[in-house]
Amino acid sequence: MSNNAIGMIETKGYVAALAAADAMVKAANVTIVGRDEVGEGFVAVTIVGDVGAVKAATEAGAETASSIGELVSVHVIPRPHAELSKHFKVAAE
Amino acid sequence: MVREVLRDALPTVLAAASGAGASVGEPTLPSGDQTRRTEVSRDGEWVVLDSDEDLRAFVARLVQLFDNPRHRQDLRHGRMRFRLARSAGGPASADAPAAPDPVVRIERGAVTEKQVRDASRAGARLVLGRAAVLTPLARDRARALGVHVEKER
Repeated sequence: MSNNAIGMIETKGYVAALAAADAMVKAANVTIVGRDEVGEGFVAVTIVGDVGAVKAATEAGAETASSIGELVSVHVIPRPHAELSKHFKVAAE
Repeated sequence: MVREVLRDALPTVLAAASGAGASVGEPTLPSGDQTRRTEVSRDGEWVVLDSDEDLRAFVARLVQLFDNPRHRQDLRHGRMRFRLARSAGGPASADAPAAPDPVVRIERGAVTEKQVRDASRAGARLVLGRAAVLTPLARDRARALGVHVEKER
């Protein structure tokens, strides 16, 4: 599986993040590479996969997150620079 | 018999007299004609001209209006007005000609591709509140369909 896109969903609240992560991996062929709790209840889930798959997955995840809890942001980076993986946890092991 | 006489006399009465004369004559008219007349004479009819089909429908409507002698007189003397309803969307927007610039407001939560598609079908633009989040797929779709998305800060 080529991982040429990163998708991120941030929610306020753990439950919405967990539900969004579940919706994302069920919706398309993507892998969860990170779950970051940055404080104040914000949880960010990071996925990798093909650009189309990541876009479809974040779409499903965002819809689920906003229906369960509070969706803060959703973003997709197609073809991330190699430098990113040196400093962020954005590559599939 | 009385109705026919009134019908013949009514256009001249209406043309000569103001609102008082009209209110005397109108109770004898069929109600459908009456409403159409007020709609036409006061603020004009909304017309959507987006496609050849719309144009054909408008011409058919004109021909239909011409069948009625009173409407024919009105058309000829410019008493019947038509207003052009502008719409950004496709043929589906012909359903709502009375609202030329509809807005879909989303206050919070995810704005998905489906909502963008629905807005495009309605010929509307999207206005997002502070807590609304546009997904990447929805942003792509909005760009492809030409839906205007406005984010409030």
